Amino acid sequence: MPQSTQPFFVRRRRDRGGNVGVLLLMTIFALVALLALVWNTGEVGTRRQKLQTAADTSAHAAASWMSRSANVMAAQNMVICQDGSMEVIWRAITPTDQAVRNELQAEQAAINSLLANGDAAYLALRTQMLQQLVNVDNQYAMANGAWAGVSGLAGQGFTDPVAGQQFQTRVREAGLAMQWIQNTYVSGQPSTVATWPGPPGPGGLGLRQLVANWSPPTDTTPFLQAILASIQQQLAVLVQFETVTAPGLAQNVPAIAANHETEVFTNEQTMAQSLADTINRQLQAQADFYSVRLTLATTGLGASATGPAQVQAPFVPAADVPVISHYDSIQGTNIAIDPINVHTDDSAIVYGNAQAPAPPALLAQFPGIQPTFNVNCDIFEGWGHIYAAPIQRYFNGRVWKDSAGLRVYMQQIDTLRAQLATLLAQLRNLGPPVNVTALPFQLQDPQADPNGVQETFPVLPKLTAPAGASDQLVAAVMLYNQHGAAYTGAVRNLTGALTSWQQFYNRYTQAFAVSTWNNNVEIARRLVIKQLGVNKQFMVLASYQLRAVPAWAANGMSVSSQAAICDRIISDNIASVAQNILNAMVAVDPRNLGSGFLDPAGRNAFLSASYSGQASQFAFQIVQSTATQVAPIIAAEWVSRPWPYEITPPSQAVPPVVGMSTSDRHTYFTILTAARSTPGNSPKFFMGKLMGNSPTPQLLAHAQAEAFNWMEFNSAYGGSEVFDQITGLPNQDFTGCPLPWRLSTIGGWSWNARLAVADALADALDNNPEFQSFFTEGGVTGNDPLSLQTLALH
Amino acid sequence: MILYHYKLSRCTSNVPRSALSRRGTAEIEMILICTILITLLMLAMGAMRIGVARLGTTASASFQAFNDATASGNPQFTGDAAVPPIDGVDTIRPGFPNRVSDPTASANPAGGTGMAGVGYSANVGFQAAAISPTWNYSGFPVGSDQTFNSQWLTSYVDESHANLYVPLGLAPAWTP
Repeated sequence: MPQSTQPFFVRRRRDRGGNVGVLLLMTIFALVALLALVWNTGEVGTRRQKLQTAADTSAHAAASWMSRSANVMAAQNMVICQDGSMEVIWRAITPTDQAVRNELQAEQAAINSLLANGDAAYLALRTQMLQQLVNVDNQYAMANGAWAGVSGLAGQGFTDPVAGQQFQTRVREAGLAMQWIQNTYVSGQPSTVATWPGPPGPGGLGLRQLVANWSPPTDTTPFLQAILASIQQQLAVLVQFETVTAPGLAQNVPAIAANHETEVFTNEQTMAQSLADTINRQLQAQADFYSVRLTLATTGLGASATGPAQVQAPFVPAADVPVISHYDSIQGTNIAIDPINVHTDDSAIVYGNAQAPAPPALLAQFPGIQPTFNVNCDIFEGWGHIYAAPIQRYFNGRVWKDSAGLRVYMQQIDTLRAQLATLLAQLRNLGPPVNVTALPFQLQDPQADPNGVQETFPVLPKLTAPAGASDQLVAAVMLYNQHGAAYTGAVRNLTGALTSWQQFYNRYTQAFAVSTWNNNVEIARRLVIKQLGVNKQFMVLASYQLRAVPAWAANGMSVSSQAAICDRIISDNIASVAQNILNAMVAVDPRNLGSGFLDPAGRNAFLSASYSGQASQFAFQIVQSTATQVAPIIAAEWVSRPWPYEITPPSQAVPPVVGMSTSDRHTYFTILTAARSTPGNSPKFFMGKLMGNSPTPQLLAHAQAEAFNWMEFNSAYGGSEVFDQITGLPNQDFTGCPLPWRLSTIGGWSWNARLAVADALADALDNNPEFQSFFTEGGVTGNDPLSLQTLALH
Repeated sequence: MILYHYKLSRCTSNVPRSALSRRGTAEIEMILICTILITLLMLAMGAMRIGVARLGTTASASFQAFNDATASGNPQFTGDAAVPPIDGVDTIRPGFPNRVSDPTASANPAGGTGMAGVGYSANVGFQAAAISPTWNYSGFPVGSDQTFNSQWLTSYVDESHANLYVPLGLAPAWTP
């Protein structure tokens, strides 16, 4: 039976040929399957990586557009500030020109009048000074004669030997002092007492030498002409100023600025509105490039019921920030607080004046003191006022920068006046300005008393005849007191005359132009920035709002503001109160310090110097008492008020919490993307029918990106923000919140994009149906926020 | 061919062959089939190499794109417009550098087939795309971009300032 005709199973049992071939075929199949597995794994991995890249770059691109728009917005707000600053300068020109011209023309007229009619006052002062020198010598002669008379009688016996000894000591001191005044202070000789001062002028010159040296030509014409020439030079500079500024003044700069500000603001709004479309177009371009499906999501703002989220720009017009109603605890009324011009006008924090009573003990001691003092408890425009808060930081800096250009002309005028001062000093033989030392109030006795004490005595000392003195001595003492007072008075008058002599033409030499310019710039600055705040034609960060001081910071802010308010009230009021008290103390002279003085002028000057410290202490006590009562009231209102925070204040103390809160970051600056493979871009499998042509579910990737500002941690910007202390302003005022900077300064023009941990994924899934559908199709069907958050952060 | 011959002889011959005549056939089959097995193994290895290369180029291109967008100091515009730049806010006030960085990374994994002198090579590549920079004041990362920013701001300010810089003594618009 042929083998081929045998039943198959019989043949198989006998014939084992081809078994290896079958095994080999199976092995080959396994190896091919291995090849497919390796290939397909690479394919899925690559497609997955590509999808993730698409999601990452798309999220980054969206955040980049947000950053670009924020940067452009910051730049445009600076353009608006530059327009405003331009208006400030324009407004400052005319009043400055008028003020400087009026002053120079008045000076010119005065000098012309003097040239025409003679400078009688100057000549009179010169004559008066010479006469005063003669008077000093005459008074010295009489006073010295009177002193000699007293000295000759001082050796007689007195009822009270101790009083007699004191009288003799005082007579000796009077003689020494009188010789020192005449020989050293007036005539410029070295002091015979080593511990006493030398002559009052430079180089050891006494009053006599100073008068002689400062003897000018009797003809005032040369220096009047010098003044006139200088004024003409100054006027020429002013004409340059007017010529340069005329083309600017001829234009309606406020209108130009306003129009441009409106135009820029319109551009800002258009750009803000176009951001969503831009980001979506960019998304579509990315999707086309990667051949994947992409969608966008936000945590809420701009989320769309269908399709990708319409990402909202992270800034809004300033006018859109809501006004807040607030109960003013000081005024007892409800007020509306403007979020841009904050705490200004009707919503200013004002207290008014307080009456500070003088302590009864002080009143009893000094009847001349006012029973109550009026203490001003406000500052100009109210505590904590801020105009155009979101842009004022850059605006103020820009005004200072812009004002430097025309300030140069004012500096030239002031320089010419300084040069005139030098020239006049030369023409008048004054030499360089000299500070003539005033006649000292007291001198120290070179001899010790029996107790070994070197007493200090007035210049000149007043003498009192001891009990039991002879009538002749009493008369001699009276004569000495009379002539001694006249002598020291004459010396002090001569010193004053010399000072007046030096300063006679100060009106024409004192600098005033720069300060005039600065004052007018400041006035215009306040006007313009207030108007910018009223117009509200600029953008602010979307997170900018009036908000309460955070709870954790309230106590610190209360302490800080209270201290600052108290200090300001004291510093603003102490001078006037102290002066009133000082006047009363000088009048009463409670320590009898002035009894030994002969001349009233010297006495008063000495008493003022002696009591000023004590008067300041009393004044401080009075004002501080009121300030410490008022400051907590103002501080309480201060802390209870909302402040214009650019970002949500941190919920914990700073440090360690610094920078933008998670809530702000998610709400305004975060964008998520999801990417899914398309049918045409799904993984292409080798042995597809066996392996399954595409993975089910389809591939999915997501990414989160955000716009952030580099300067958030720079100590000159966000890094220096404190929330529990007052913030100082350049004009010495202070405010209760960090100054906004993120959308209006150079530092604010530093937004950038970055990929972030997907900590907003849960919110995004909740608010964006299309985004969620990507996840659902990709096999992620659950959305437990806690699980997602945990996964994202680990 | 050998298999074919074996099958022919097995199906058409009526003469039973002795066991002696079939001795060594499996060994010969094994030896011959090794060529195929080795080739398949080499192909699997090659597939792995290509897969690794594809993953590598994808990661490399992505990294390069982000590097260009965030830290690179050189202008990145490649000019091939793989992703055409979107005008966006630039249409309202043009002048800012609007670039797309779309670097391509490629690799040429090579391998053998198991036969001497017979090898293969593949070319794999990936292109990523990121927009950059963000038009910030400093122009970082592309320092020269500050020139664009300067010109942009200056031209904007000049619209209102052009005739007023000198009369009002204003500071230049840049630096702001």
